[in-house]
Amino acid sequence: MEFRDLIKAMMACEQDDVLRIMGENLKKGARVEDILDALTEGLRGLGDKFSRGEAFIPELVFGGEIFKEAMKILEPKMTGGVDSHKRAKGKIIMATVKGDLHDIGKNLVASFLTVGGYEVIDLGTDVPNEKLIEMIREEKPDVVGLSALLTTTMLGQREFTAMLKGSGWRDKVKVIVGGAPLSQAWADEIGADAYGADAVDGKNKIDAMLKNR
Amino acid sequence: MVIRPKLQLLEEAQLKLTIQDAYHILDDVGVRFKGNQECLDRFEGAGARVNREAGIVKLTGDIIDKALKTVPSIIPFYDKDHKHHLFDLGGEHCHVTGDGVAIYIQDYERPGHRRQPVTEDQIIHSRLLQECQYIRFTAPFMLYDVPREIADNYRFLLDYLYCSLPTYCSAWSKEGFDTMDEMIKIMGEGESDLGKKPAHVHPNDPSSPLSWSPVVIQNFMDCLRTSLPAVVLPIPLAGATSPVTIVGTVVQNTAENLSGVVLSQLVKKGGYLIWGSGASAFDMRSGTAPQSAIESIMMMCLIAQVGNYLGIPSLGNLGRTDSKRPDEQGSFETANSYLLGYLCRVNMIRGAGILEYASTISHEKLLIDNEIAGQAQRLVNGGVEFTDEARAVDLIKEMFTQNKSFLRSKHTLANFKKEFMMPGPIIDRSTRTAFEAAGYKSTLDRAHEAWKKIIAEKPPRPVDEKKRITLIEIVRARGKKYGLDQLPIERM
Repeated sequence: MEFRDLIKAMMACEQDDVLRIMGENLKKGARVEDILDALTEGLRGLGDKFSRGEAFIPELVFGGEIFKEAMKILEPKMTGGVDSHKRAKGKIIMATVKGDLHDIGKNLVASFLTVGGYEVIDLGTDVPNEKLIEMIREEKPDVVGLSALLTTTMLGQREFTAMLKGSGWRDKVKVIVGGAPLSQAWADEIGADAYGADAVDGKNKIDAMLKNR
Repeated sequence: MVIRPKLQLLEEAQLKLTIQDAYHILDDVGVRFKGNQECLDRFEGAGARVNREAGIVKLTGDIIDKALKTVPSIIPFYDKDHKHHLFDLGGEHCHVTGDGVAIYIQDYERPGHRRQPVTEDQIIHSRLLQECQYIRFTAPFMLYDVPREIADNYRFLLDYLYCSLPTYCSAWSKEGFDTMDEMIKIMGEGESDLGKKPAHVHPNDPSSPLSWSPVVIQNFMDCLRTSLPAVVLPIPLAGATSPVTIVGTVVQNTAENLSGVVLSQLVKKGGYLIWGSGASAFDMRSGTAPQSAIESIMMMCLIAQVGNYLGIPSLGNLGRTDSKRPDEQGSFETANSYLLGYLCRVNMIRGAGILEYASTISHEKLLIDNEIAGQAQRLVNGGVEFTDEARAVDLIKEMFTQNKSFLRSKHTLANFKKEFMMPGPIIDRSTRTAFEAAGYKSTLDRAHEAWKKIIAEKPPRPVDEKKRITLIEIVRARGKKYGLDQLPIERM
């Protein structure tokens, strides 16, 4: 069964069309795995369009949202054989540090990662370090991305890396930091594995860190 | 009579509707004030509907109206020793401000490259600001040769030692704020009623949309308590953290600012407040926040005009450039925003000497921006003198009928310095011969030479020795907590 229409609708960010075509195909007995492959291909195509300057951030973000909506329908149907978690390129936890309510940079990186095929767990803003450590233990992510926009809150990132070291999990997870007042020197100083200068750079650094796993 | 050109971007009826929309938002959904019980107590005490669990505060029009009545419309600013009145902020008064959010400094020797600033960079920058004729506030930046925890107080110290202009500067923690307050009292030693003679401004950034974080709430209330003029400075990114439409972002920024107005007057009735905006278009291709985009300039000018309409001194992050070097883009973007900022009467035009989304400071850009500021001030503050003498009808007739030169007239001699702004050495109006003889230098080269000359020839400002020692001791004491026994300035 071919899914050219589904891929095209995904690349064009046409949510209604994506869900309609998906529903029609499911009714016809299409395999969930094949639909998922088509959605992923559409999302990849959208990412390629963005790289060529033919698509823009709102389309990319909205594409990620459509994918999430589609997954809500597909996941309950995934019995045996299809495991979306195993299909993902890696698991990433994203958060903004405690005391900081800014999330646009973090959200962008999360969208880029979703479009790029990662499973993203977004803990939101104002996240205490204790909560982060707890989630690391629970979810066992490959990477933790920590954002801070303010000079008043960036010190929370240093506290996190110290706490992570103390928790015994430092060697099991990569840490990337980002945010307007930060630099590579800051990442080095606090012992992070990478610094994302912007959303695209953040995604690329994560790609590079997980390449040779 | 002097005609001062003015640009009004919205009609009065549209301004009123914008403000009404903001009132409606504050009444209907409110604002989130997170993690500070004292501020929620104050709101509740004033009759606001408070959801303590969610930190949501809903404000009626009456509460906002009451607060607006007591916000001062003019703030008098003094030198850092709180001794001499320098200028007023508000109403028709517009001033350009240095910009201190930078975390890098431009490396002139390696064009386009940047490095982390240290003590000497701040000293040079503050000394240059002391000599900038058209810039009225300093703003020290991030320094990397001291522990991060004390860099806020240390830069504040250096800026005091080398520049007497009022400061735009924030503290990064409660401890940093309290130390800054202690330092301000030392700086103003011997002067009575320091609260009425402000010499510093502290920015407070609500998180768009409609949220205040715990640190910002605390700093904001501390500003009011210590009589430090507090800037409410949301940075909505149109299309990302506020509506993509220009006026939608203006409505949201207005609501965010009004929530600050109410809190400020609940903490201190009559407390100084500055109505700010760092609104920016959100670049849908790169994900950056270009504050020099024309749409960003429009939003910040509009938000300032709402503040001015309400009788509150205004501020916009205008003058910043997204260019990575102090080049052609850097200059025209700054010129766009200074000119529009002045024409729209943005009282505090914040952004001199800064590049690349406000991340990189440049001594050269500072001096170039000083010249741009001078020209904007000439346009608006100087204006057009429209008098019989200025129209010079008799003079024109006399020169024509008697075949005389205007250059020899007393009218020219008496008025040329008033009518023409004399640019500094950065602006090249020389002949081709002089340009070639000087070595074909660019604006950037001339700006570099100009700051080197200032530093070589102009001595640092004199500072009371007792104050200097006391201030250094205060910051050193904080440094010791973080393993620093001696400040870099003490080793120089």
